[in-house]
Order: sequence, then structure tokens, then C-alpha cells
Amino acid sequence: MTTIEQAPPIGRSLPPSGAPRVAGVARPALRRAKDHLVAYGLLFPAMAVFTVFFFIPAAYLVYISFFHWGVLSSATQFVGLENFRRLFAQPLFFRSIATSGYYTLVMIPATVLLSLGVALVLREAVTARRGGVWRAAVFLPHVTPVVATSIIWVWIFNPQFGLANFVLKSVGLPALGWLSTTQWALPAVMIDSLWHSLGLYVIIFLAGLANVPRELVEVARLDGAKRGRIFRRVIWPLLSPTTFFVVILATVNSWQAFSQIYAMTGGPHGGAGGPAFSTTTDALLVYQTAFTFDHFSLASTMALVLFAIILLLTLVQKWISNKVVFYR
Amino acid sequence: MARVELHDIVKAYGNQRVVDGIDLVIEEGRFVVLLGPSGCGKTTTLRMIAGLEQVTAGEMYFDGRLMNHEPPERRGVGMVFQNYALYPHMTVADNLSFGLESQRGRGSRRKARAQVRARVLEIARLLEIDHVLDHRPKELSGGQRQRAALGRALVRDPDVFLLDEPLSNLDANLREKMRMELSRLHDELPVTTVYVTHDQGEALTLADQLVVMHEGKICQAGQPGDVYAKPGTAFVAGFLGSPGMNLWELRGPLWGEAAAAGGVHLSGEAWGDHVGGGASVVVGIRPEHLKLLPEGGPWPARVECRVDVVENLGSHVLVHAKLHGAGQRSLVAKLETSAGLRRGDRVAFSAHAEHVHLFDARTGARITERVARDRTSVDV
Ligand SMILES: Nc1ncnc2c1ncn2[C@@H]1O[C@H](COP(=O)(O)OP(=O)(O)OP(=O)(O)O)[C@@H](O)[C@H]1O
Ligand SMILES: [Mg+2]
Repeated sequence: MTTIEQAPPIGRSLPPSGAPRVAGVARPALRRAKDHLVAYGLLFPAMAVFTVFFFIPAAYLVYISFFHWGVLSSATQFVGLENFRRLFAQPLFFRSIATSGYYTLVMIPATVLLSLGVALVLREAVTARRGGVWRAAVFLPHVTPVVATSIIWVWIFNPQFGLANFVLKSVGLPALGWLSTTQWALPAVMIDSLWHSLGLYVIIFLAGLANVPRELVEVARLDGAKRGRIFRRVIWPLLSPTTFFVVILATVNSWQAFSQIYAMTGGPHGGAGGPAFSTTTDALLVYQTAFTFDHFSLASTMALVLFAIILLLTLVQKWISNKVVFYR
Repeated sequence: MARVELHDIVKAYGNQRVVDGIDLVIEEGRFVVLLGPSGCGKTTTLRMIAGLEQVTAGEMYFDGRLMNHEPPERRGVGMVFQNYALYPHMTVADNLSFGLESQRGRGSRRKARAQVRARVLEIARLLEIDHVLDHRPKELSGGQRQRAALGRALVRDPDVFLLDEPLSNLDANLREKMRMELSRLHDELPVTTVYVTHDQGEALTLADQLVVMHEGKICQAGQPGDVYAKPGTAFVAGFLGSPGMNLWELRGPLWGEAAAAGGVHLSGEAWGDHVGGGASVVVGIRPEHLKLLPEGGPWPARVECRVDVVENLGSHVLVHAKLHGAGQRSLVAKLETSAGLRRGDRVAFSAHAEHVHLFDARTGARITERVARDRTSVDV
């Protein structure tokens, strides 16, 4: 005799979504442990490097912010918030924050506009035969040592013999004091920094542009949109994650800018950050406090505040980005 | 609406001519389907009509206006891409209104905006996507995305409507449904339409005019029924139909009233006397025109073979068989029932004379039936 098996009700006949379950066989705990071991094993080298060169120094920095501490003096003394009190009592500290802020606020839009513009031009050139050469040319400054090229820029900005003033004069503009005036010293550094970092951001934007589907631009053309409108309404929104990334990167790099300022405004001969502290950014002040004035704990406190500022800026940007950045 | 004319259109990449001299006139309001195998230049042709690719040579006219150097935004074409190309960051409503706002002239802003809104709603209702107007494309189903793409192309009232395999991303059921909807849509909005596909079901059902392409050239253009019934070349014969026409080459010289080669026998009635010169020909018979016949008896065309595979597809049965004689020639027959056929059975199929197609073996061109017809009428 045959029995008619009842069909499982619809919806039960399929195993629940996800991994198929094998009844009665638990995943051997041993194997899971082995998986974990492998995972941690693979992570270990990176974690080790991070721990030794990042986490420990960072933690130590926080630690000495609350002590009176010197490289040579073995006597460390807990001083509580004394370093913070002294820091906030220094007008130069606030001035350096303002200088860094000014520098960063100019650098972000300048970086975005310039690198996006160059990327857009280069993208057209990619189809042309020499596209690769141009891309390499734009990227080249980024791989040169900052200090070395900054010295060239010092020459360019030389008030009497420099190329910058020569160009200004030849188009009928007045020559500028560049590195020797408080007004133009920081802009001179900005120009050097832009030149140096442009290639990196151009490459990032080129990658972002390559991710904008070609058909969307074509369909917008068929829709009758002009170039400007296509850029504004189609390319720019789709590029927003890239732009956001560039903004974050530019913020961090600008707020931490050091080498080019140090090299252009004084270098090894001292007096970096001048004239009259006009180029003394946060990062430079940290360096000088530690290595010129030997006040390590105060410098650590300053670095801590610097870190807090960058973190805050990034969070604010992230918060803004949630409203304006479109992720596909 | 526009009348589209292509005169000897060529597109070359380097020295490779991917579209190689296309002549085509599309009357106002017609639905033309470009059909052909992958890589035959269908998309390229469509993109040239849209202005997204420059033509290398030849002339293109819309309503008698030369279009060769007109940019896409000034051609008045709407296009649906294979992957829809909806703006992912805009809602469906914004996707539809983008084009309208792009070309909006001066005048009262508020009034213009109200007009845009009304037009968007009208098209959305027509396509039954009015309830998802404020959704982003990724929140839509495949069919809704497809409709949104159609809507975006139609909302501006294009003179020419271009579709590049618009249904290929849909599942089989939805594809059939959308195929009917497209047909209905074209009845309601009779815009000059060029539709690219490599699905012959779509091509045969949708087209007013079917254009079969192969290697950058047009093989045949005409009403779908005619193209199917009288394929102009051996390629079209083999490409159209599922499965395509059986084609066997009979090598010359072939003489006389009847011809037999490698299991294929043709009587004078099917054969005619037009190849008396002895050139090789290609004989073609559609699978559905092959009938199982007992041996002997009168036969205009007879094919002897050995059954290889019998496929039962529910509504019909496909019999795959190997022809007798040398070579690896094979046959597919579409029967209503399997008639008890099994692998290894020796059988003979026959076909009526009017279902036997002859093609020139060298050029692939159809050999007209005039001679054969005349002869048949004389015999009867
Ligand atoms: N930009 C290009 N550069 C070089 N060759 C191209 C280019 N675009 C297309 N081709 C070539 O042109 C030929 C025709 O391409 P096309 O896209 O028109 O084919 P299709 O008929 O649409 O095929 P499918 O059915 O696969 O979409 C192909 O061989 C393709 O490789
Ligand atoms: Mg294609």
C-alpha cells in the first residue's frame, strides 16, 4: 500500500533564507576557533605596526599632556590640567588656530575646484593620444619630496629675481612681497601646497569621473541639457562621494601642513612661521614648542587639541555630507 | 513625428566598418525593428540616429533636414537604453521632468512648472507609474524602472523614439507583458520608433517594418510576415524562426528533373529548372513545414535521416536528426506529436513545394521561385 505524503505547506518547503541549515550538525567549535585564529593571524602584522607606531604614541601623548615631562629630565610630575591652562593662556595658540583655519578654509575649495577642473580637462584628453603623458605630468609633483620642491618655490617667490613677480610684472600687475610680508607669506605657501598635492586629488577625481556612467551623460544630452546643466545636475551629484573624500583628505592634510611651511618660511636657519608669526600654524607651533622650546608636555597638549579640532571638523563634514552626498 | 532617412550610412572604427552602408527609410509614425545577431551594428546604428556617434560616411535626414552634424540635444529624439540609465539620484518625477526643464524657454516660471508637473503626471498615468513618482530608481521593480525609462524618453514628445533592447533585463513573463504594453503604447502615441533587439519574438510581434542586419549590413527589410515567409538570404532564413530554417547545401553540378544529395531529394516540382547550369544551391525548409511521411509515395521534397534527439516541449515536439550520406548535416523538425519516434529510427520527412526555399550557395541570395511556380502550374 502506498501512503500519500502530505506536501509541506507552501512557504515552509524552502529552507529559511541564509545559509542552508544542516539539521543536528552543529558547526564544530574547533573549526570556528581555527577560523578566528587565522583571521587574527592575518591581521596581526598590520595591528602590530599600528600599535607600536600609532596607538602607543597616541596614548602616551594623552598621558604626558597631564604631566610635566621633558626628554632628558627623568622627573615626571603630574600637573593635572595645568598644561591646558597654560595653553589657553597663550594668545599665540589661538592665533595659530586661526592661521590653520584660514589656511584650511582656502585650501579646501581651491583644491576641489582646481583638481576637479584639471580632472575634467584631462578626461577629455584621455581619448587623445597624449592623455597618459598629461596625467603623469600632473601627478609628478606629488611624488617629489616636499622639502626639496619647497626650496624651489622659495626661489620662485624671491621678491627680486623670482619667477612669480616676473610673471606679475609682465602682465602689468604690481610685484608682491610674497614670503617677506605677513599678508602674502601664507598664500605663497598655499600655492606651493596646491601645486604639490594637486596630482593626487586629480587622480582621485579622475577615478570618480570614470565611475559616472557614460549613458547618464548621454541621456542628459538627449534630454536637451547643456554642458553646465549636465555637470550641475548629473555629474556633480554622482561625484559627491568623491568630492566628500577629497574634502576630508584636504582638511586633514591642510590642518596638518608642516613641511612646506617649515621649509619655505625659515627652514633650518630658524624663524619658521614668520614673518611675525603669520605662517605659524597649529602644526608648526606644536613642533616649535616641543623642539625649539623643549616643552614636550605642552606640545603634546597642543597636539591633543589639534587632534580634537580635526576630529570635530571631520564629524561636522560627515554630518553635512549625510545630507548632500549621494551614495549609489 | 519625423520621417527618418538613412542613406548609405557607414560607421568605421579605425579601418573596421561596423556599420557598412545602410539604406533605410522610416516613414512617419512607423515602428521599425532592427534585428540581428550580437555585434552586427544595431546599437551603433541607433546611436548614430540619436547623434551620440558621428557617422563616418553617408547622410541622415529627419523630415528632409540633414542631421549629420546636428548634436543630440537638437534632434528631438528620445532614447531608452538597455540598462535604462535612469538618474539614480533623482526621483522618478525628477527623472521625467529633467528633460522638460532643460528645454524650457523663458516665460512665467510658475506656469511653466505647473505645466511640467501636469505633463509628467499625464505620462506617469499612461505608464502606470504615477504611484511611484517620488521613489528613487533603486526603489523600483524592474518593470517600473523600465516604464520610468520609457516615460522619460516620451515625456518630451520626441520626434523619433529609439529603444535599445529595452526588455532584455526583464524576466520572461514581464517581457511578454511589456511587449504588449509597448504595442499598446505605440497605438496611443504613434511616434516614429526604432527598436533594437536580438529577440525575434519581439521583432516579429512589434514591427511594422522588420530590418534584419548582419555584419553591419541590412540583409532584408520588409513586413515581418513577408520576411519570415520569404527570407531574402540564407542568413535571414537561418536566423528567423525558432529554431531557424534547416539549410543544406547541395553541391553542383546538379542536373535534371530530380536532384538527390546526401539524403535530400527534390523533385522537379520543388526544384524548378532554374539551376540547370549546375551551380551549388542551398535548400531551406522550415522545421514546422517538415511532415513525417511513410516511405515512397509522391514527394516534392523528401529528406531521409536518422533520429538523434526527440525534445518534447509541451505544445510541440522538436525532432533532431542526422541526414543520411556523408557529412554531419542535420535537421530539426517541429511536429505536433512525437509519433512514437525514438533515437536511431530511420525516417523520411517531406515538405510541400512552396515551402522549399532555394538560395545561391555562393552569395546566399534567394533564388526566385518564379521558374518553379511557372513549371508547377504547367504540370498541374
Ligand atoms: N567604440 C567602439 N570602438 C570600436 N569598436 C566598436 C565600438 N563600439 C562598437 N564597436 C564594435 O562595433 C560592432 C557593433 O557593435 P554594436 O554595439 O553596434 O553591436 P550590436 O548589434 O548592438 O550587438 P549587441 O546585440 O550585442 O548589443 C561590434 O563588433 C563592436 O565591437
Ligand atoms: Mg547592442
